[in-house]
Amino acid sequence: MGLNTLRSLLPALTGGVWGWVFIACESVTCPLNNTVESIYGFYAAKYDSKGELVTGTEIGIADTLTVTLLGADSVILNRQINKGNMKLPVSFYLDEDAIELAFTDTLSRTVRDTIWVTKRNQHHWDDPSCPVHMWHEVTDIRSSHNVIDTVLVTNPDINYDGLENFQIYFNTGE
Amino acid sequence: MASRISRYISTRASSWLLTAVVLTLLPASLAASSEFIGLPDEPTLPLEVTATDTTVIVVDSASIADAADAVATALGKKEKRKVHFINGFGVGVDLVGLIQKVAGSDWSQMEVLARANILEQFFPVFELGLGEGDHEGRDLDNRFRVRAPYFRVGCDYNIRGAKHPDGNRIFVGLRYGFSAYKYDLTSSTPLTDPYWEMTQDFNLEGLNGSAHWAEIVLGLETRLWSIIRLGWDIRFKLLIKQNANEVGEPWYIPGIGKRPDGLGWGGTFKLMFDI
Repeated sequence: MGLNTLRSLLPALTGGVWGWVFIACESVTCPLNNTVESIYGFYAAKYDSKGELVTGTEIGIADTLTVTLLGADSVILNRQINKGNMKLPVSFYLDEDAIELAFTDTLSRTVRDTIWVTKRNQHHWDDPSCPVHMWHEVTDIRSSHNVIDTVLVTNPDINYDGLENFQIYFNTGE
Repeated sequence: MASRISRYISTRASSWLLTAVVLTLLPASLAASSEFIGLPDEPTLPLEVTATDTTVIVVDSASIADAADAVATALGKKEKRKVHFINGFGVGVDLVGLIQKVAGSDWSQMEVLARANILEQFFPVFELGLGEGDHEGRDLDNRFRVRAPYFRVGCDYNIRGAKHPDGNRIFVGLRYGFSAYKYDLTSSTPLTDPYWEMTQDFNLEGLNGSAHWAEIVLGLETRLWSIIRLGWDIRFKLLIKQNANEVGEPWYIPGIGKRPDGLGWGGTFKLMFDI
């Protein structure tokens, strides 16, 4: 095997290094913000002269707000004041979540409303080295109407993108 | 071959020095040069020689191939090799996948290829492979598995062309690749809802996926011996379209490699045979 033979082989031999580089490279990128929450915004229910809801008027709830996840018997928000929105967990496997909102005024009078969220549950993963999550697609929402006037779905996909999913319009007495 | 070279050299009296050099080097290097350096098996001699009596040629190469090349260069004529339109066919295997498999990598691609040689410049190629991935998450027991075929079609262009019939080729090329596959996402640890305290297994098997992609190829290739060639290339990959289950994209896509985010790169290390 002469010098020229070696010279001919050199590109091929050095090429073998690439193969090992391909094998050696590895990286894992898990999302840093990976908390799956449903996000509710609070709004004032106002109607125009045609009787249609005017959307987009944000408010804070002056009363004390307590939120309970029915079925889980878990108080997720306790005696919150001046809330403009809330972030709630979503059940992994139930087809419908029931959420009770209790509003207590300064005279200790409590009014309750319940929201029912119907959804489709879906596993989600980014990488085998990242935790598996449950994502959800909202198919319907309804509520009782003691304090709540209307509930709108603004983004049916509940994941960890941080976008508002629901707008709750409250009777403001105006 | 030696007689042909001697015949054409002797046509000019001033070439006696070169003749002596060539004949001295011939016995030691003829076999190696004809097999390894890539001289044509049937050179189309005699060459036309137009050297004058004042021509002085110095040959310091250690091989008959270099000597002949130097002669032709010095005399202003290069040896012409007859190149056919269909200049041959080749088959090969990618050794990277084999190495990965032996090394215990959690993904590998066993791949073969077939190609045609057109005018020693264009090489239409078909690559067929079997991609396998079996990867368990770091610190978690999530597991990804896939095993599916893939193919690529495309063409390489030999930059050196037919003017350098020494067996070495420099390629640029394009590929289109496709794979349809089923993949599994599983975990031995059930997924528990922390609020409603409900638990279910996480075993999703047979999820459908497919991918279309393009590759830009840059590579080298050399002839080792007779019909045996060795070459490697690097490939820049562009994922054109991917259909994956909404649960999540596959960790590895057969034919592409570990999941690229739109762009990726890879390469092959090929053993090939001219047929």
